Amino acid sequence: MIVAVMANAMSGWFIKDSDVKLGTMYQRGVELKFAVIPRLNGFEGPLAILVDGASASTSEIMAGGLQDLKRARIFGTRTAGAALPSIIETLPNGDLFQFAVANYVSESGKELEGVGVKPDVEVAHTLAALRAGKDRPIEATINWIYANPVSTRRP
Amino acid sequence: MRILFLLAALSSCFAQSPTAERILDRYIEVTGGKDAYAKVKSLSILGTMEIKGQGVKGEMRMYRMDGSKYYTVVDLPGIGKQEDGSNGNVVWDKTVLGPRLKTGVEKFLAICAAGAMSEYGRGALEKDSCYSKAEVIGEEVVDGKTAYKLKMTPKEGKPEEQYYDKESGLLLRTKMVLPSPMGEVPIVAIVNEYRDIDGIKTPVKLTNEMGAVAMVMTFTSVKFNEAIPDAMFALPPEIQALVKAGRK
Repeated sequence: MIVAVMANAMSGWFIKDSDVKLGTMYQRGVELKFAVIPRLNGFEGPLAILVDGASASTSEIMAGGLQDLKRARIFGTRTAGAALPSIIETLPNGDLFQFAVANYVSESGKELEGVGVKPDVEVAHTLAALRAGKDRPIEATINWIYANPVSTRRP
Repeated sequence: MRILFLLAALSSCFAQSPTAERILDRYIEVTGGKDAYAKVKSLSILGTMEIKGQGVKGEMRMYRMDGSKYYTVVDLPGIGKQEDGSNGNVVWDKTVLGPRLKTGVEKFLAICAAGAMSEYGRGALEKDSCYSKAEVIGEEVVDGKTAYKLKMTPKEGKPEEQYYDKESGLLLRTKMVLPSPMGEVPIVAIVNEYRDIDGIKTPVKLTNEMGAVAMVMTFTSVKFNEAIPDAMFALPPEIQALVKAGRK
C-alpha cells in the first residue's frame, strides 16, 4: 500500500499491536504520548509513505513515527520540519502572535522541528522527468512495492 | 505563656474550619438541594466547544440518563467528530484516532462523571459511590475568591483537588489527572459561569486547561428530564465490532 495523504490518525490502520506510540509531545507540565489505536481489519502488507517539503505537522509525525518503528519505508524528499503545535494570541495592538507550545520527540529520541524526516529513499521530481510525464517518487515507490510482493494479510 | 496563646488561637482556627463533608453538603444546598437533584433522571445539553488560540470552535451535545448512560459528541471543524459514550455497561470513545473501549480507572471515572447528572460537582453529588476519602487541606485564593481546598481520593485513580468558594459554597475549579491513551493528562477544570435552571444552579460555561491548551465549553441549552430515546446510548457499529472481537 502507498500512502500519500497523511495524518497521525491513520496509523492505527497499519499497526496491529497495542501500546505502540509514535513519540511524545512535551508541554510545560504535560507529556502527551502519540498513541496508536490499532483498528480491526488493518493493513499488514508493505507500506510506503510519500513525502516532500510540503509534508508538515502530524503528517511528519506519522511518517517519522512509522519509519522509527520500521513499519513503513519513506520515499521522496525531506519533510518541512514544522511539527510543533502552536497557538495564536491577539496582541493589544491587534497583531497576531503565534508561538509553539510543545516539543515533539520521536520514540527513538529524534526531534523533528527544523530537521524534518529524511526519507529512506531520497528521490525528487526533475524537470525532465515531469516533461516526460514521469513521477519519479511514485515510480520509485511502485518499484519497491513490486520488489517486495508480500501478500496483503488482514488480521 | 505566649506559646499557649498561640496554640489556643490555632486550635480555635481549626475548630472553625468546616469538615470536607460539610463543604460538599453545602455545595448541594447552594446549588439547589438534595430534593432538586433527586428529581433529575436525565440531562440534555447543547452548546459549543472552542480550543482557544487555534481558531477551532464546534458544536457539542451531551446526554445523560439513569446514572450510568451517557453520550457526548463534539464536531470540531478541521479535526472531526469526537464521540464518547456508555450504554451503562460498555464505556467507549470514537475519535480521529479510532474507536476504543474504556476499561479500568478510565471506565470508573467516566461512569462517576455521568452519574453526577451535572457536568460538574461529582465530588459532592457522587461522593459515596466514587470517593473513598475527602479531606480539607487548606485555603487558597482562586480568581480573587478565598476557597476551601479539598483533596478528594477516588476509589480508583489519582486524588483530585477541588476548590469551593468560602463565601458562596460553589465549586470554582478542580485539578485532576485523568488516564487516557496519551498517558496521564493533568487537567484544571474551571467553572466560569453558573445559571439557575429549573431550581438547580448549573455550570453553563467551563474551561478545561491542559498545559498551554484551553478548551472552553459554553452551554446554550441545558434541560433536565427531557425524554431521551434509549437508542441515543446504543453502541455504534464500530464499538459493537470491538466488543465482539474482545478488543480494548
